[in-house]
Amino acid sequence: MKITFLILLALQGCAFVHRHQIQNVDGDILGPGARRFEFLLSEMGVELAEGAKWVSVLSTNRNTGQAANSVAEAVALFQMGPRTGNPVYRLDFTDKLTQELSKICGGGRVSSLTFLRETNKYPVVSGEIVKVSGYCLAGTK
Amino acid sequence: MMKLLLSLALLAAASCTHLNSVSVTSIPKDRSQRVSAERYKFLFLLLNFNNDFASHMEKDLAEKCPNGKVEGIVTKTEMLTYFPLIAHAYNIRADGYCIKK
Repeated sequence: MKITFLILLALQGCAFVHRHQIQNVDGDILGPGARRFEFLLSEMGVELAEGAKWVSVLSTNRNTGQAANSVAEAVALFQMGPRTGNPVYRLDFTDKLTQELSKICGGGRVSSLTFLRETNKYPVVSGEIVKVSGYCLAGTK
Repeated sequence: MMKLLLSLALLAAASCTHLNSVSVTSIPKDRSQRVSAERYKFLFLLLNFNNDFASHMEKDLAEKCPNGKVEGIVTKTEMLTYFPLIAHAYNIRADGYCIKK
């Protein structure tokens, strides 16, 4: 039973797409003056309910498992509502988005931006990611 | 036997589409030429180790509108369920209008 659970644990890495958004696209991105860029903004997400589940399955003491489940249920009350991915502890991890975009092309124009909101899921924790890509168009205002 | 048939029928009827997100950019006045790009990824047992299939969609749109600009882009992200747990897919579709310079 526990070996099966550990195998499932090892296989659990998965990527999820929540949202994909494409801004207006310039035909100039196909030209020689265009340079593609891509960067990630990410933060660690934690799924406490799943952690409690693992504790109750792997624990030899039944009371420990029950206590873990009780704590997870109490925490879940504070995390209700629509969401994408797992809860994170820092809300400001995407705040530097504009700053990053401003400096990435130097004096050139930033064009054809795409945003991908995704989750890379692992046991209990996850990577909550915003992937930004676009093009620097040299010599255009 | 009846229970098995009923269970299978219910499972088969569970096929459905989930809309994850929709976004749209400003709509141009000239809406005469539509262009679109689409990406699809089939997931067996929901196993998916990266989302690279969604990359470079803007290039697909630009190639359909050379020397122009694509505006009014509606991007839709969907999750398809063909059979619960066994067969799923992601579908991302972008439709816009080509504006010639």
